Amino acid sequence: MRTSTMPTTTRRALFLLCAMALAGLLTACGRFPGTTPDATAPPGSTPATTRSAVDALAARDDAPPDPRFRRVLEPRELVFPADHGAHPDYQTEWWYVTANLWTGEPDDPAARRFGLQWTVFRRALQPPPEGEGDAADGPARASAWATRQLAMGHFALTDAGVVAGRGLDDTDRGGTYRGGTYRGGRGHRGVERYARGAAGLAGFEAAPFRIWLEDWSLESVAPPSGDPADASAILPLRLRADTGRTPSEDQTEERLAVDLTLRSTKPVVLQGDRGFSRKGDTPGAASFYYSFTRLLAEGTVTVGEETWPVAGTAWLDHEWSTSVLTAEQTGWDWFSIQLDSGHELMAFTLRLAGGGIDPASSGTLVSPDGTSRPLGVDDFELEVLDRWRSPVTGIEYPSRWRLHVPREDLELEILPVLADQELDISFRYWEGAVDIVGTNRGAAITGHGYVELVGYGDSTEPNLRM
Amino acid sequence: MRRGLRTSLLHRATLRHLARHPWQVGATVLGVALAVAVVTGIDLANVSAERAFRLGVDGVAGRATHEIVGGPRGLNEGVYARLRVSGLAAAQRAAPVVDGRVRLLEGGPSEDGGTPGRTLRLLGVDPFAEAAIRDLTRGLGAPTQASNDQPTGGAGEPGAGNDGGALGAFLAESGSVAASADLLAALGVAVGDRLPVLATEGEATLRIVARLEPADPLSRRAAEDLLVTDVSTAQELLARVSRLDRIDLRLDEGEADAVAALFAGDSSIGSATLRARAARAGALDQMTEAFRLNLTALSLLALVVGMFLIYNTLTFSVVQRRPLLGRLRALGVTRREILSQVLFEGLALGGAGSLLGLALGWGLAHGLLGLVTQTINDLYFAVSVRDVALPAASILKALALGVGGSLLATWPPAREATRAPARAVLRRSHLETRSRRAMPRLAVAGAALGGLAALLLVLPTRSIVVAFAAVFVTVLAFACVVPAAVWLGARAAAGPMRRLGALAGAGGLGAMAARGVAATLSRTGVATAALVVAVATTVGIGVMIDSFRATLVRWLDTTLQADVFVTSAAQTARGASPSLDPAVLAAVEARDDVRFVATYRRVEVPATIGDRGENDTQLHALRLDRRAFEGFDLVPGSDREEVWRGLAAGDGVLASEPYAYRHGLAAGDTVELLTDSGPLPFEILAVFYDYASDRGRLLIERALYDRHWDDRRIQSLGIYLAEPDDAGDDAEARADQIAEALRAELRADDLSILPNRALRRLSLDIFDRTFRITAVLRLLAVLVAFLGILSALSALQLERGREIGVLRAAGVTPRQVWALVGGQTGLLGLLAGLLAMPLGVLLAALLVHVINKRSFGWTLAFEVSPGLLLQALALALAAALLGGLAPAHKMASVSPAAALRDE
Repeated sequence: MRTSTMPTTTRRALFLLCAMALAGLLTACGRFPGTTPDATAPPGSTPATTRSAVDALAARDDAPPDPRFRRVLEPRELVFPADHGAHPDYQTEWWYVTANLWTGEPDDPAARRFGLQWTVFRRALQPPPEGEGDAADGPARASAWATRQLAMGHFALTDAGVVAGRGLDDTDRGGTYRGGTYRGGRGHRGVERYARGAAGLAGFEAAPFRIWLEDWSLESVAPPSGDPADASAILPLRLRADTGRTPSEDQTEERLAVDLTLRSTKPVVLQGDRGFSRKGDTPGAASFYYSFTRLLAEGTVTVGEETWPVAGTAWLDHEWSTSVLTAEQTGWDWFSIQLDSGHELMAFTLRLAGGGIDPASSGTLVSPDGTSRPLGVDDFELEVLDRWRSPVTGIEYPSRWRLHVPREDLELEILPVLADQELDISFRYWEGAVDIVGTNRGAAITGHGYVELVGYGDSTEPNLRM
Repeated sequence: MRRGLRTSLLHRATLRHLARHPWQVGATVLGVALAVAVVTGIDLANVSAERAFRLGVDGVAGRATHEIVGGPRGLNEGVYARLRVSGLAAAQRAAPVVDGRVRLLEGGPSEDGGTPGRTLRLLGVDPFAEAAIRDLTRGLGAPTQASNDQPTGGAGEPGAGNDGGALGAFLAESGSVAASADLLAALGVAVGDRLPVLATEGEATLRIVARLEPADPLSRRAAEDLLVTDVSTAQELLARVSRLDRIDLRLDEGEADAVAALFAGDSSIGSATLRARAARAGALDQMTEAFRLNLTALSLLALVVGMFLIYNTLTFSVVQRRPLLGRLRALGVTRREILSQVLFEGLALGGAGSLLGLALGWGLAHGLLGLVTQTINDLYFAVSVRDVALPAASILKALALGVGGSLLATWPPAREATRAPARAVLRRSHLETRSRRAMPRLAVAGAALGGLAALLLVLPTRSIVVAFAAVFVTVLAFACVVPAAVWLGARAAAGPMRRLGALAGAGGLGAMAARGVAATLSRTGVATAALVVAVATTVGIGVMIDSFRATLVRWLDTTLQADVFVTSAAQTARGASPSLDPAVLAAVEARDDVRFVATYRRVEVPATIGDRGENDTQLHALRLDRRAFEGFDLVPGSDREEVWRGLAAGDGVLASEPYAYRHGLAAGDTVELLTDSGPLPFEILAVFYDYASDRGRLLIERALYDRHWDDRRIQSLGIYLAEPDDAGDDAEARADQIAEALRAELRADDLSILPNRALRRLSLDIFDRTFRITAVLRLLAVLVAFLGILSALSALQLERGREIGVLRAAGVTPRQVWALVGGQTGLLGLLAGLLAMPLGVLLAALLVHVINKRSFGWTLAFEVSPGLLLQALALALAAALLGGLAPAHKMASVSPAAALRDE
């Protein structure tokens, strides 16, 4: 792989920065793109692009972060429960849940298959005031609405339907592979929200654990008996999201809602070095990053008028940093895979403008007993087998992959349950549920997971929709 | 060929006639122009103010269909979060608003902008919620780097040069505001500049962090007077911490119930009511409707005067040309041709006058706009109008009124010119005969019109339009009677005039002047009618203003009972008066020389009256004692002591007269007010006279208010001094002393401490300011009248050149000519002035007792000052005498031979 000397960034920091930069702030929902001609432009000149009003919010892609933000420079012990909550002096942070859900047993061909993405991003709009250390907000203000913390939420649901047929080449593999085509679902849809991290509208609280943006929330429902210093003490969690109830008949968009309880099956996984996840060779090009890689999810999913009881597995990431995207990085492909063998695999590749993969790309393999092993950029290979072009945005995304981990003799084929799991909100990307089929040391293996594809097409440009 | 010759002869004759009487033509055009200008000016000023208000409302309300409002202290901010987490789809279309005003102070960057003192609306919003409701905040993301010439915002400056940009500053830094490019240009400031302002919480410095780029014209217009800021800043500057003014919502069909149910019956968040927005904008519009209708109607009076002028001029012009028209008829010009020619003349004069009037009106509107908006600001709500609109409808209206009125006024003389047989047309006497014969018929018509006016007045309606129709019919009725009255008056004056003439050494010329007036009735009748209407209008409006002012003075005497008043000096706009520090009350009460302190608090409360839906009611909570209660003059029918006992015991509330009138309430009725614990009925114990606002208000005793509303604030104090030991002490001087002492003791720059006398002066100043527009209208009516009379009488006398020539040849001296002309016009003026008095007083009575009552619900004392009547008489005389000046001079100086040759 090509070596790069450019500063790199974490996969989701990249994502977040792009999203934040381009998302419609005042024009929340991105539907009212603002024209903000540069004040310094010569009179009479027309701005080349009309950029979203959220330029305000925008981290300049080419500007270094304000030096007053704290940076992730070296490993430290993560301390719970405090580190479950917000780290307001770092610029960006997120709590990210993905889940594969069924209305019955995954093996049951009549079970309806759902995918869920739930994310709350935090972004500091202003650096912390100097000399006040960890102060969450600047000088004390009388109004409870004053804050420098912005919350952004993404909520997407994939309603794939039921398996319509066996997988593409399952005859070669035999066994219980369910990947393939689904029918009868209502497809994929994603929505977004913004709110200030104040005034009872959004918050990121460590103890009791509660991350929320309006009525989208992820909160601890654990009895207060556990050892709070144990990261898992916040479990079980209750996750909720709802696009909103309405009595009106002629809804333009169907209601989407989830209400899940997430239970622990494995201990926390500290990514990288004790949670210090290095993303490049320059100082500060890193994040603090930990995950719950296998949570048992149980609850309900609502699409339109229908509500189903569902169960399945979920994955929770919590990551924070202060980093900036470089011009050379065009995007990333991120994979979270839960194998039926009890293993989980996280891997991401950062794509470079000239083609090729940034050496900071990496992964983690988690064994059934909870122990994890980091994967370096040379420890895995990713091959794109198919591509899909969005009929809505015209953007072409990779759509099927072969992931090979030679050291483990693990070869997986990754198949989206639906080709179209593109989020066409103020920032365009593809994030969707996938089915896994493959072999491990010669034995057939299956699983499920989530894939995130960012930076394809013009998706780093603002999403202009009038 | 023959026809062409005829027509061209007619045209040339007409043109020649007009060219030979440039003054007459000029005066007519000017008369029409002035009349149209007054109507147009008022119309444009009204339309502009209304448009500005509507645009302000619409631009700020955006796509909102509903709003949630709270109690007196505003809406608990927790309501918004509760709505947002409710899981209702409608919650995603809700936006919180903190709405107030700030006044710009000296020291801003602009030296020449002349902006200090200007009041701007400060709209606190949540940027994340705005897109669903408004397009105002587009552009909030503009980079904080300022324009080329003003680089600001280095890395060290908070809010600039960091990733959060304008949005970060908006949310995190108090005082961050955004404004539209138009407003920035008007204020002469750029992004990055600071603006010192006076807000509710005192002085503050705003910092402009972004330039707004509102998308649609409506938002752009609304943004012209708008500083947009975050809810946080607005709460801090406008003394609304933990409060919102409202939540705007865009609800779909059927969603309102679910939203309303979120807060119903929950007292933990205070009062929160969902209501449709359209109703509210409509109510605000209704508030000024009566005011605007009154202005329009008064301006139409000017048009009536203008129409009389056109009629007069054209009649006159036809009369002058009767010989010519007769000759033309003899030459074969048809009646039809003459009719169309005269009508065309009227059209041309009216058209030219209307166009000129339109231009004048456009200019006038700029002057009137300030007065109109001043009045609206003083009486109703703050509206800022910066430019005069010129809608096509107003142009058409002005032209239609001007040209239509001219044609209407031209029709009788045009018919007159064609009707008479060719032979008779050559003789003036025919016209005079006809005219005198018409007199009784006119008088009968006048009587009939008078009956119609009376009928209109007794109609069981509260319609202002009907009332004004009655006013106009009354004017017409009177005008019909004027010729007969002039004829009678002139004949009656013949005797005294003869004696007067003899005394002046003018021989029989005095009687001659009087008889001349009667003998030339075809012309003098209309001219006098015009003069009468014009003068009566000024009398009517003058008496109305006097009555109003006298009533107000008496009311202030009753109402302003306290000796010293204390209020916050930081009142930036109506309704935004901040509350007083409780320490101030304590300090005042602690003084030995203070007997009692009345407290005052004004709030807006949603009220329901019967089944007539909801309205915003001004509720005034007062702490009173028996002596302070003397400040309320009750409408007859209530027992004062009983009312006081009921009020003190918290049995009910008092309603102001306009409130009772507007809502059809009387003592004993109930009003349902939204208290913190839900809607509750309150009995109206009595109705009191009140001229503070035409919206009306309810008055509640403080203890009762405190029982139902969680609001401890007070806005002003009325201090009653203890009786002095030595009774000889001057009360006013003592009030001044105490005020001075309090100022020193409280050492509060943000308090306004006024002795009774000063407050009363202030109140009257405001009154005079709000009535300036009415006074200006009166002045304009006078001006139109004056010009009209001047031109009509000048023409009238000039036409008598031949007659005077004969007199001169018979030995009448120039001096006597002066006396003759002067005597005749003077007599006309005197008669008009005298006739104008009963009509003026009648008009005033209608304005005061019918129009005002129906428009504003006020009962006014009727006050006719002899000075005003004398003034009117002097005005009529002066106009008439001035009108005689030029002809008298001309006729006296022309040699008899030349005068005889003329014509």
